[in-house]
Amino acid sequence: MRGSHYYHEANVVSNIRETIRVNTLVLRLNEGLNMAPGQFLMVWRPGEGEIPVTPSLIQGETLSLTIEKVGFTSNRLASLKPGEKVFLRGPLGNGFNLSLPGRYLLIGGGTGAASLTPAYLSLASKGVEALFLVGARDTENLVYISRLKELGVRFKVATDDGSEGFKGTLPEFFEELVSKDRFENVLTIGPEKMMVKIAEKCVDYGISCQVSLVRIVKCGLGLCGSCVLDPFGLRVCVDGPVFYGEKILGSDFGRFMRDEAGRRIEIVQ
Amino acid sequence: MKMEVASLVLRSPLIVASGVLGSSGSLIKNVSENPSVGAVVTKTVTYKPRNGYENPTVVDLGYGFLNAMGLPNPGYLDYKVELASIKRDLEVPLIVSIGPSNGEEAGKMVEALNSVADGFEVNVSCPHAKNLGLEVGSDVQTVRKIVKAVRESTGKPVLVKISPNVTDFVDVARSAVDAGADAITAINTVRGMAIDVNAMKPVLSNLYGGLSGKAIHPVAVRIVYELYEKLEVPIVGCGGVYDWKDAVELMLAGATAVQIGSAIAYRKMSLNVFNEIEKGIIEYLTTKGFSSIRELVGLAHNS
Repeated sequence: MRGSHYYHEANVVSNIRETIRVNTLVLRLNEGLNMAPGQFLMVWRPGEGEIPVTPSLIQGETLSLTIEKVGFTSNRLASLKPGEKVFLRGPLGNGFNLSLPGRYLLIGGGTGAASLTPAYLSLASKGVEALFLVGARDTENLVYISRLKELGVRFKVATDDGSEGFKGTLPEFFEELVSKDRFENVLTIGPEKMMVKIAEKCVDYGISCQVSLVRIVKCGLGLCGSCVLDPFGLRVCVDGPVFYGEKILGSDFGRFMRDEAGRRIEIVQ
Repeated sequence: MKMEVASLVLRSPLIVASGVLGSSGSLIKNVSENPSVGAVVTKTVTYKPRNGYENPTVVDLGYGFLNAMGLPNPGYLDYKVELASIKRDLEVPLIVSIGPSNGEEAGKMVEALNSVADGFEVNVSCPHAKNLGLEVGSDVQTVRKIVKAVRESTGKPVLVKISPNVTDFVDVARSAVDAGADAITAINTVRGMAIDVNAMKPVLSNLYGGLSGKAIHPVAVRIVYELYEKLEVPIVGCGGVYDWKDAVELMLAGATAVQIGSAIAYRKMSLNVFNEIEKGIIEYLTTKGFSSIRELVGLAHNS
């Protein structure tokens, strides 16, 4: 009997600088992970902590993790050199439902552009029509763009300052697109305030919307309560991280998260 | 299947153990809706807020969990607000678990939490928190002072949860009873360690943690059995209860009620395990010709 405690060993093959705050680690594993787009891994470095990451590429024994430097552990991970190791627990949580009928619009803000890529590739491989919107404050903060080009992803760019692509936020770009074109499904990963706006618009337009949330994940097993969404008592690590937007609008989604001590704190972004 | 433990009237002898629900009031409310749940014990709250330890904090061994969460909690004042927001909607008694490091803290916490609690469980047994839990719970005098302070601050039932990690657990339990405890919960987790064979390092950032789940059930049975011989107060059995047999075993050893924790986590937090265990116990009572669960308690003893 083996619990989920088993860690997969992974070697860093390369470390690509995306922006001043974001790096992508390309990893090589001894065995491929049977992992659905949208599921996540707990990434551990002994003595340096363990954080949840939704991979930005899942291809056999090759995996990439796009990591934003937020705290100690993510800063350490983002600075790893080829040959160094990380240990992976998972896959954990529920991924995106990619078998819903119709066309898909994927909306990735910040590092969300990277972590939505496996979902795009999975849809494309099944011949499902999908368009990918990626966005950031400005050109400097766009992540994963060169990788998307390499992978042949059909994408459009929005920047808040108009330094590249559409001038404006992703919700604004989304609104402009859906006023002209019909999409049955939206998948989004990004800052929560952005996802709330998109989820609300999807309700208005009758579009199915799946959002992926980030919380402080401790156990990753659904038992410690660190990642709970009130008032429904949904746990991001096992009930999510992907949720249907309309099911969690009006909850802590986009408004509150819990800090390390379990105190509810306001989400600012 | 009604049961009484230290003046708490329970609709079922099956209690949600401390620690499996985090700090969220909404999760407590959700579980209290299950008719087979008799009471809920909250996550342990401390005097000051605690962030807990760095990850990894929990290891899933398949046959149990090893955890060193480090008692993360928002502190008793914030927690009171959270509990107050759900208290009215709860259908079962709410037992608030407190982790004081001395009598003074214990008194203040209990006084403040008295209005939201139906009872208290004093955690003097967490095996991995500095200056708390077992570090105070292995000293008979400190346990006495803490329980005395709790007793003087509330008229509500007081349970004291003891550790299997000390040899003189009977003395610890007796000092708690002498100081006014109404019941003893036995047991908390068993200290252990896990090393990842790929990383070749201990998994928990705290290095060691507390083992719960199936593996510790026989330890719990033995300690409940021994306490039943030595004490006059009710014992609440806790440790590796996964099915009705595990629960009945603890009752035969002397437990008036049992707590369930790890099994909930293994069922993806589904509380069906409570329904199944309650049904199993009822069938067992019928088959063996008992009219109430009370008749089972301590039946394994010669007397």
